[in-house]
Amino acid sequence: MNQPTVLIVADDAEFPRSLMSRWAKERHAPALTIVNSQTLLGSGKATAEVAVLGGMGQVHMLEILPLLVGDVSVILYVADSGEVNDNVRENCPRICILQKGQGWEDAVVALVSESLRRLDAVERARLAEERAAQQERFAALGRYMLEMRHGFSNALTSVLGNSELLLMEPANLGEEARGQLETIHGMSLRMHEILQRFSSLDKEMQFASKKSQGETGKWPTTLAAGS
Amino acid sequence: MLKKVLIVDDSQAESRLMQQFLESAGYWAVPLSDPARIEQLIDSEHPSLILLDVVMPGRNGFQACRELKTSDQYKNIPIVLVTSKSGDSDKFWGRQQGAEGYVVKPFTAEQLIGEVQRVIG
Repeated sequence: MNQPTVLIVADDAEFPRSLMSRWAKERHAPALTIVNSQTLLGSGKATAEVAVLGGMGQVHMLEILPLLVGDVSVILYVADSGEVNDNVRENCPRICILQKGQGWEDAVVALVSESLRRLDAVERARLAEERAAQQERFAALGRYMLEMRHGFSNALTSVLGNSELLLMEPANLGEEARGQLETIHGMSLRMHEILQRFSSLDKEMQFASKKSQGETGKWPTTLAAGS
Repeated sequence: MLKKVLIVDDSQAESRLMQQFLESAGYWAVPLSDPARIEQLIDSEHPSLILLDVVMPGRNGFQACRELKTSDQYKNIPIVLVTSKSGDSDKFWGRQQGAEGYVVKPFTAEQLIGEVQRVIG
């Protein structure tokens, strides 16, 4: 994940000031974007991993929640008074509500930090799954190529061999036909080289796989044998 | 007198190709597509050398080579394995079965004839 972004939405300037002052004590701080509810409503969208709302009336809260629900992963609301409008929860069931009291800034920083760590872990897991799926596709392709190698070699034997046989008696061929046949023969030899490189690569990969498994104490599994 | 070479390969195209290469180099080639009949053809044709494919249905080349090389009657006939199995472990295994030579498919006329000449002259 790039540097995570935290959106602070507040109409009371003291709210973000307190939070920024608290965050300044942390070794790693996320990128903070501070807006008031009117600016956010005017822009019509919010882009951040986490949003912290506070220092505003609950009516304004209800107006800006729809802008956040789809695009922001974690929404944290620091409520001034003891009671929270039921409509807030109805509009955003997964909102996290924190009552403002002594040390609320510590609680917000801790909650936001943990939320960002969790989001980062989820993103890393998603990327790892994507990479694993891609590796599996490559492995399937590799296995298929290994299985095809025998048939390909046999077919190439005929192409290469028969072109050689024809070239053994050049007197039977016109100049143009001989040139074309030499091209077929040359390209067959090239394909042969490619096949040999593929075999070498397969051998190296088997060696690397065995070495790696040996280091982790696992027995190597049997790889698809060449034919 | 021409030296006779028995070609054992289930692929007619490859068998015919080897036959033409051998004949162009002055050998007498006898093709056989059924590996179960090797001993029968040896008895009737008395070849100087056997070119033996490895991947064949019923009886693979390694198995046939091992059986011929453990037979008092046939063990002195040189065998060259001709196969697309190109790994070092395959070549090692071929030698373990008693084969005198090994040619990897696809091969050139020079490679095939070179190996035949190396083994039987």
